[in-house]
Amino acid sequence: MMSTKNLLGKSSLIISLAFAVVVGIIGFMTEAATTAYLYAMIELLILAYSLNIFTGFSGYVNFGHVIYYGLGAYVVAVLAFNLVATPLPTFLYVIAGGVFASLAAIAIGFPVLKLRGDYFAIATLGVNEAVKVIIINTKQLGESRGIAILGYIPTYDIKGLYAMVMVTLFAVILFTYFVYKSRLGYGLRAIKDDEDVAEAMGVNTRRYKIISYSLGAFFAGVAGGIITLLYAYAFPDYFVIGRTIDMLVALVLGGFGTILGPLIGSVLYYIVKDYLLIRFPFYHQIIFGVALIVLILFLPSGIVGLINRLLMKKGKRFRLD
Amino acid sequence: MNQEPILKVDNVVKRFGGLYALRKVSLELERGIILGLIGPNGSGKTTLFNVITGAYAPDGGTIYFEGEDISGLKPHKIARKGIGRTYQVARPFSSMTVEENVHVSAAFGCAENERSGETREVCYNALKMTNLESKADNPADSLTLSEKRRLEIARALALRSKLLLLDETMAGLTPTEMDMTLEMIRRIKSEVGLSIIVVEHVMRAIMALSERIVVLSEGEKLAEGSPKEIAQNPLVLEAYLGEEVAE
Repeated sequence: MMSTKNLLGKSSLIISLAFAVVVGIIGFMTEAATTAYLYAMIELLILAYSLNIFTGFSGYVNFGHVIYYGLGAYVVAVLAFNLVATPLPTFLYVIAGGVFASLAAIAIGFPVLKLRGDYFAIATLGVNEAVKVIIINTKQLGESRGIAILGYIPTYDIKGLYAMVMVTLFAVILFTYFVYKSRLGYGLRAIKDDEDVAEAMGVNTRRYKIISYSLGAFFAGVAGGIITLLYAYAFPDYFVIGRTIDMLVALVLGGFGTILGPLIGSVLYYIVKDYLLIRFPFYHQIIFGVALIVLILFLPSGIVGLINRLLMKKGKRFRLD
Repeated sequence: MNQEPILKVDNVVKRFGGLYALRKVSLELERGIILGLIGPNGSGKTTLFNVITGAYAPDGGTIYFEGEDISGLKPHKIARKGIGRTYQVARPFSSMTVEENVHVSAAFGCAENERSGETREVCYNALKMTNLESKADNPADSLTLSEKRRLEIARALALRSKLLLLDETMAGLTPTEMDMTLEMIRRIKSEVGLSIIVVEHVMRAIMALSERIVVLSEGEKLAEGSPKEIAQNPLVLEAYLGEEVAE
């Protein structure tokens, strides 16, 4: 058997960061429409990376990740609304959104992460709907109308907000790398492979699941906070489950639990989906669905997995992370 | 030398619904001893391992490890106190390399290893003792059965276990591999000063390794003694082979 080395842990990080720099520069130099196009791509990247921190590393499929995006969005709207007399720098609102999302994740994760595997996945569907219903029925949160904050704080500034998501993207990529290399990362990968054995090897599985669930929620909350600033609006549609599906598909496409996977998967998914939507406005979802099934059948470990298999066949002694 | 037994199982009961898997089982293990645990299929050997390591909470009785009551603690807490185990069906972390497998237990095991400088050394020693150094960078998935079994032992060593529970480490091995493994277990025991409980169906192995043997049958302790005494005990013969043969 060929001996392999994951020399590229650092290289994967550098490739990802280099990509982020290039996209970042393009986004600043082009006209607003292209910046907006790239903004949405970067947002998907952040969300896919944030989901990767928990679902990718621990193997727990989470259908409810979008709630943390939605909660971050609402926190920013509520703060902007209530602090209109003494506004603070907007990035503080966004960070508050992330912190609130990660605290909510601890509160929700504490009971829900007692469940394992498929049961957890099903429970996250329920949690997602429950949170959405609570928000729609809360008067203070504008019920189904949401909260408009136009004029309360500076909004619609696409270049400024683009800078904000770029900083977040850098942070989440670096963070992913450190998790991957850390004790937490080893613990999560052990949980993914065999949770009972992980326990028997001294891993406090419940604690590590909650920590990573909450860390992922932080970045989703930040992304949600920024979108409120862009749309000047927080409304219940932020909790639509389709967004979680987008993130999951991007992850599967690129490769679960890797550093490069969320990047490759999100970019490809975003560009192809957008292209199909324009080219085949009526059939794009069917085409996409079929393509997806084929991909999952033949590439269960995503594009990163495919590249690694090819590298192995060629007798190379390293693999991508 | 500390005379207190490293492990004391006191009247432990485990039931699954109305079915008793363990009925008031008691045993003691002195430090530095290899204890053989035998019994027909379904006699509760693996259940006893699962209760000792915390995978199941006992329904009655107490388990003391180094004098401390550990019954009902979470498995990771028990692992960190120094009880390592292997599985009947080898369960390595299949997406990791051999070294990464060992790294997990070195990083999470006994609190002493938490200083990161030591983790590498602990991994290296564990791999060396189990003759897996040359396989360190291989995917755990690619190992042979005998190597997977050794990897499980390496993982338990990297925990810095004081007590090692080996669940049918010999099953399915060729005679040569078995001799190698026997020799390895003896060497590990003398070098690390471990106490070991061995569950085994291969009589040749259990007779060669154990200093004392406990026989379980239908969840109860049937007999206890030296390998020689056990081999001649009519109750044991009866449990294994049926009444007529024993007579």
